[in-house]
Amino acid sequence: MSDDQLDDDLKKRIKQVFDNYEDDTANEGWLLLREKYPEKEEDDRGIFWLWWRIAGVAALLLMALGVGLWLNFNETGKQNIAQHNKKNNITDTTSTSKIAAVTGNTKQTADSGTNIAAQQQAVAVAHATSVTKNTPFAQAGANPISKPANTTNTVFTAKVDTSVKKDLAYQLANRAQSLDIIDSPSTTNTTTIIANNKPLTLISTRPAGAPAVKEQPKVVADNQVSKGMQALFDKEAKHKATQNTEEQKTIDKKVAFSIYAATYVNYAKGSNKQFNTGGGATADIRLTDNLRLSTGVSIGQNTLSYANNTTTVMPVALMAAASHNFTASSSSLLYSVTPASSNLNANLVNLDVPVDLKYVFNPQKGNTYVSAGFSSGTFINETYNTTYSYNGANGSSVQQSSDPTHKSFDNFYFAQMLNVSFGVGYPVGKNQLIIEPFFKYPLNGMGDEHLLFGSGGINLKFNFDPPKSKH
Amino acid sequence: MLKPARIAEDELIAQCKKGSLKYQEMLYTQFYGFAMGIGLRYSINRDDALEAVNDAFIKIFKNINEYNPAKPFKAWLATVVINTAIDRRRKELKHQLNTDLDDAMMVQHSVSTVDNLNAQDILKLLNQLPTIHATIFNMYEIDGYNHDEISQMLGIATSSSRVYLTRAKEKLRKLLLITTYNERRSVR
Repeated sequence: MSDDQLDDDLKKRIKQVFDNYEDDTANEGWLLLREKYPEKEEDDRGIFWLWWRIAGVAALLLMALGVGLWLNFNETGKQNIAQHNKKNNITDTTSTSKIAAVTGNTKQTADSGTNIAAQQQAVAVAHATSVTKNTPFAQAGANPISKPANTTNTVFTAKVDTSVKKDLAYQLANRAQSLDIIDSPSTTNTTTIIANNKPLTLISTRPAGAPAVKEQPKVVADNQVSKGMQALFDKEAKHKATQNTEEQKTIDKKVAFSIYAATYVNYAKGSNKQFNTGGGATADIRLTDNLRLSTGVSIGQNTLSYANNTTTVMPVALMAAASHNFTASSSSLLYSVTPASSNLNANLVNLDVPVDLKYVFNPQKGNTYVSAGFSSGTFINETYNTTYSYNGANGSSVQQSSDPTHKSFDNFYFAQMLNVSFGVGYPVGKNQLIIEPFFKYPLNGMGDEHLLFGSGGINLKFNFDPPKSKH
Repeated sequence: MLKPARIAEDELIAQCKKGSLKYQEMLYTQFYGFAMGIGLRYSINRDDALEAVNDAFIKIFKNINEYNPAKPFKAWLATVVINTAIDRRRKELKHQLNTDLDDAMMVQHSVSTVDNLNAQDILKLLNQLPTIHATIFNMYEIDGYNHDEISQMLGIATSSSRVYLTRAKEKLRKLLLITTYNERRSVR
C-alpha cells in the first residue's frame, strides 16, 4: 500500500470516527460549564434587569395614579377657586363701598352715611328704628365699582345721642370677635362695622370747614338692621347657593375609582380549563360624556394543566423539557426511550396593568358600558412542574421524573393581552355595584415558557361615587 | 435504538437567542459529542478537551445573536471549538517540540489496521505527534483548512505549515507501522 493510500485511509477513518463521535458525559460537562456560565456579571445584569422591570411596572402605576390625582386636584382646585371668588366678591364689594362711601360723604359733606353693598344687587334699605325713628335712609342699588361713589353712593344717616353711642360701644365690645370698627374722628369720623359677614358701613363725617354743630356719631348696629339686612343676605345666600349648584353641575368628577374581585376560567390549547380568582383596582378617567379611559392594576392567578398530552400538541417548552430530562439521566435505559405521557402544570401569578377604552351607553341613567383594550404586566411568580412518565426498555416498567422550575419577575409583557368586557352597574347608595363579564385573549405567548393562554369570567366591581356627566 | 426526539436546531437556537438557560443546556447536550470529537483531536487530554469545548459553548451562548441561520450550526460550532482549542495551546504551539520518533521497525501494514482504529486509538496516535504537527494535520486533513488559513490562525509561515503537515503524515505512518507490528506480535 502506498503512503498516499495510507494517508487517505487514515483521513477517512478519522473523519468517520469523529463525525459520529458520541459522548455520554454531557451532564458532567454541563455542570462544569455552569461553574463559569452565566458569569457573575451576568447575574448582576439579571438583578439589574429584574429591578428595571419592577421599576417599570412601578413607574406605570405611579403615572396612572399621578394622572388620577392630578385630575382630582384640578377638580378640587376649581371648586376652591369658585368658593374663593365668591368670598372675594363680597369682600371687594364691601371694601369698595367703604371707599365710595367715604369719598362720597366727603364730597357731599354729609353728616354721616352707611353704605351697604351686596354683590351686583340692589341694596335694601334698613331702618334703624332703635336708634331713631327719623333717620333718613337712602339707598342706591348699584355696584360701587361700576358706578362712581360720588354720584350713586348709598348713604344713610342716623342721628343718635352720645348715650346711644356708648350703648353701641358696649354692644360692639361684646361682639369683638365679629365686629370690625374703624373710627377716624380726626378728619372724617368714620366708623365701619362688619358683623357676621354682613357688610355694614357706618360713616360719620365732619368736614374740616363745617360749623361746630352738635356732633352726633352715626351708628348702625347689626341687630338694629337685622330684619332688612337679614332679608338682603338671605337673598344673597340663596342666589349664591343657586350659583354653586350650577357650578357643581358643570364641574364633574373626572376620575372614579373601583375595586373588584374576579372569578374566571383560564383556557389554552391542550390544557384543561382551570377556575381561578383575582382582584384589583381601577381608575376610570372621563374623556368625553360617553368615553372613559380605564386603567389600574390587578393580581390574578392563572393555572394551566397540560395533562396526558403527546409531544405533538404540547407546547415547545414541554418538548424542550422532555429532552432536558432525558439528558439529565445518565442511564442508558432512559436515554433509549421516549416519554409515554407527560404532564405540565403551570401556575402563574400575574401583575396586570390594563389600559382600556370604555364606552358608556347612557351616562345619565346608569353605568352600562362596553370596554376594550390591552394589558401589560409581569409575573410575580411562575411555577412550572413538568412530570414525565415513560416506559422502560422492556415496555413494562413505568418511570417518572419531575422538573419543577420557579421564576419571579422574569418576564414583562407589553400589550400582549386583548381585553374585552361588558358591564352593568346597579346603584348602591352613592356608589355602584357593577357586574362585568370579561374575556381576555392572548396575542402572544407569555411567561418563561411562552404559554399562550387567555381567560374569561366575571368581575364583581364596586365603583366609588361614579362620575356624572354634564347636564 | 430509539433516541429521544430532538428539538429542531432552529428552534433551539431561537430559544437560546432569548437567553433561556434550559435551551442552552439542550443545545449543549445535543452537540456535546460533536464538539468533544473535535476538542479531543486538538487537545492533549480529555480534561483539556472538555475545557476547550465548554469555553467554546460559552462563546456560542454569548454570541448566539451573531449566528447566521443560513449556515449550518455545526460548521460554526466546529470553527469555534477549533479556535478555542488552538488558543488554549497557543503557547505550546509556539514552543513546539520537534522531537522525531525513533525509527520504527518497517513492517508492512494492512488496511485492516486503519479500519479497526477507534477514537481512542486515533487520539493516541495524534497525541504522540508534536502539538503543532497534530494541529496542522487536523486542520488540513480533517477539518478542511488550507495552508493560508492555517498560517494565519497559528501565526506561522505557509511554508512551515506545509512542512509540518508532511512531517505529521510521515510520523503517523511510522506510528501506524508500529501499531501493526505490535498487533502482529501479540497475535503470534
